[in-house]
Amino acid sequence: MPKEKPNILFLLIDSLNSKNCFENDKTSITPNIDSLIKNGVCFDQTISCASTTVPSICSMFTGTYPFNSIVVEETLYKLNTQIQNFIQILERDGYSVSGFIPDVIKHIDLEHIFHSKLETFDSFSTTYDILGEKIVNVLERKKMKHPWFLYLHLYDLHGTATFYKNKPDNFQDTKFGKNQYDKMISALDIWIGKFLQHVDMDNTLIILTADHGSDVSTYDLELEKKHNYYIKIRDSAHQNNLAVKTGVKFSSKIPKILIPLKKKISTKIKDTKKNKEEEIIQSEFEKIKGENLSPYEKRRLENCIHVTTQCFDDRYKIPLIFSGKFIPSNLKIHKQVRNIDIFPTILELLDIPFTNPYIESKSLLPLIKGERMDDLTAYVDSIGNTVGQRTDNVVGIRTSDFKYFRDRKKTEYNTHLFNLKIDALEENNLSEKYSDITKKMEKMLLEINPNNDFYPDSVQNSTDKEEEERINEQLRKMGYT
Amino acid sequence: MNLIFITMDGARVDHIIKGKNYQKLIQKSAFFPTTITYAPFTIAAMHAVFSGVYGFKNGVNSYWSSTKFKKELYKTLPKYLKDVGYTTYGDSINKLILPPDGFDELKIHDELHDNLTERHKLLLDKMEEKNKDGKKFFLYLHYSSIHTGIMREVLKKYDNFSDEYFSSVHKNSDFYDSLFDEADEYLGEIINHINKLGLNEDTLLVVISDHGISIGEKFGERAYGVFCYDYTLKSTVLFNHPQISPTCINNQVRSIDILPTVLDLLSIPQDANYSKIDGKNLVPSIDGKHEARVAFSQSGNPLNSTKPPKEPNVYAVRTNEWKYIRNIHDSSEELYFIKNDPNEENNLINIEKEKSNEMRSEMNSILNQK
Repeated sequence: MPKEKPNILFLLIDSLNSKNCFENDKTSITPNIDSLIKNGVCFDQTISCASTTVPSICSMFTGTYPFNSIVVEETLYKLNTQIQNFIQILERDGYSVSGFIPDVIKHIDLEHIFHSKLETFDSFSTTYDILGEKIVNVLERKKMKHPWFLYLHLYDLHGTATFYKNKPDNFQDTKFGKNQYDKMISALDIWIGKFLQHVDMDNTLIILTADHGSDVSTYDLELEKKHNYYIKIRDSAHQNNLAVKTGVKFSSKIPKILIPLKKKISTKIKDTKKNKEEEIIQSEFEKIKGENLSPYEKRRLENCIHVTTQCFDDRYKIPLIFSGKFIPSNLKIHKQVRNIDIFPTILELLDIPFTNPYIESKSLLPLIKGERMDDLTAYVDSIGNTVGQRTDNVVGIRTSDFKYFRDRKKTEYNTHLFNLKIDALEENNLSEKYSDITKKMEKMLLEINPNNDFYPDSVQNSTDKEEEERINEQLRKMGYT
Repeated sequence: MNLIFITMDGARVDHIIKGKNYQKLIQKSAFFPTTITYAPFTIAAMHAVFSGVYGFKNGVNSYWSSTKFKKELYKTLPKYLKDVGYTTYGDSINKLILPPDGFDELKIHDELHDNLTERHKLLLDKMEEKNKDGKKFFLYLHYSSIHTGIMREVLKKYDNFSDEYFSSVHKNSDFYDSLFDEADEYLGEIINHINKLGLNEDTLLVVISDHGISIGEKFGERAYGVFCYDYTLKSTVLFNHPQISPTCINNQVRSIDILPTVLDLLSIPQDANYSKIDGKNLVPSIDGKHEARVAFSQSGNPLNSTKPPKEPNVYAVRTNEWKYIRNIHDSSEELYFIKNDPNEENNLINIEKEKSNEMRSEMNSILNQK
């Protein structure tokens, strides 16, 4: 008998760290997330393949790594629409798919898979502003055609919202969290509870996860102050946090013919500002070098000034909770899994067959059923949200024992190896000391990508209708069209 | 040593081994009757042959992608020859068929009106003149009349779901026989002309078929370029030169292996300035050292459209014994034990689970070699 298809509520909480969601010493108050955990299966060692949103969610939706899941179009990364994605498979199986996403990622072509049923919201707004009410309305009206898949990309914890916007007044007391980030989680949890109130838990599969973690989650008050200070300095030199957003709005509104001119001018302005920004950052970094701090603390401080992402765990460990229909209660799984495994698990839970040409991912259903499963090696990639960011530098591999990463192109440059079992903060680089393990990890990395080509492909503007018509004419001659 | 490279477009292996003139040539050549094409349609098939690389890497994986060939990454056969001083000349059916890079001249014949036998004999004469002037030559000849017949009588008359076509397998087969007989005559005349001009003494002759053609075996594919079944994936290659010992190697090889083999036979080293190719030299096989080679293919099922898709949506991995197919368009999979089930009728995907996993994994690892 085919299974009755449940509805699916997919909560992606941008920048939610695993430990701020699960661990006993977390300082946020999250009765609703806790209830999902209690009534579901919780994977507490889930690794995202990227530390930035665009590559992470494109990989999650396609089950492939960023060098396949995204493509380059001018300066932007976009979803590789040539690869089949899991949303299409759900839709083909009869699911009515829809979603809410922040407008900052509007350009990545999620419309391609959600069609017109994708609502964007201002990235500077948070769930408790307007968005939460909107989502509750959608759930309350019960107008979504059964079975439905609702994707909610919540942006409350992202730095933009956490540090810029008006904070939720009722959650400023320290009992809601040791830092601003945890307070935001407490505030968000209320809304998660409201969403769940409008969902038939007996006939809904609920997934809660994140695109990536965040360093901000570890800040104490002093670091928060520093972070705010450096944001202001950076912004005065370079409207960095607005760059992507502005870029998107800009490219969508300016007439095509004016884009080259506008680009030239804005590049010049940006370059000047960038140089000024670089100067400030470098001088601050120099100061940190002389301070008596542990490698982890230095790294955190550097990141507080400006992201210097390598492939450290704070940004890659994300929560993953399955709850609701078909899911057993109160099961914690400590085996390492990946964000690319989420959708294969959903599809197998629903008995939906699928194949994917570049698939790397695996269903986690055996683990949910308490069966044995081989260890999953996680690929980690520091690629950014837009092309040519300073943080794009490294790629690596994480097993449950070791983390290895190195330069994106040169195999023996910028190599790092950490023994995660005894060095969870990744402070002691063992790449030279344990060259045999380094080599083994490098081999594993190249097994994932034997040509050592970790750059996403560029797409040509396939809108060249004239060329298409010329080809069509030739194909017609040969009887093919 | 000169090179004459002839493509017998759409020649089926079951006919090739019985063709009167083909047989004569096979007996004097190193012949590979199980050469698995990368794509069962000429455009992607020939780009793979000329570059030694699968289309998902070289950029040409569909009818629509000729202009996307990555010539900066992959050096083509004519370019190799041009770079070592050959005169390079080609006669093809359409400009979309071959990467033009490296050809001194690439002419396009009129498949509806030109007499290919006479046209190609004249080209051989022209090459002989060049040769007399001390210039080595590469001549590419595309025999397209099987395609032309299929275009006229099948592609333009029926669609992929025509009951009339699929209920007339005998008639279809007879029609194909007549097209092939003409092809075999063409080949005989060209070989005779090569011999008459004395070019055979110092010329490597390579004759390939680029893909097979349906005569109505599987509903949904009236000709080729839809599925990945053997009647279209199986192509052939033969290498003929006085110094190559005649042999027939039944083991599976790939169309991408042709380029490195030709280069080796002509003593041209592979160019390290270009990306590594997928194909592997067949000369050791000719010398009796066989090795198992896994073949990967892609096709584009147009489904209900009148145009082929822009991207492949049917993938296959084939070994000497097994074939695994992924139909991307409907997420279905097929597994055949082709050794005992050559017509691919018994899908074992849900029965031979271990083998299915092994073949899936084989396909994934090929696709991941971006």
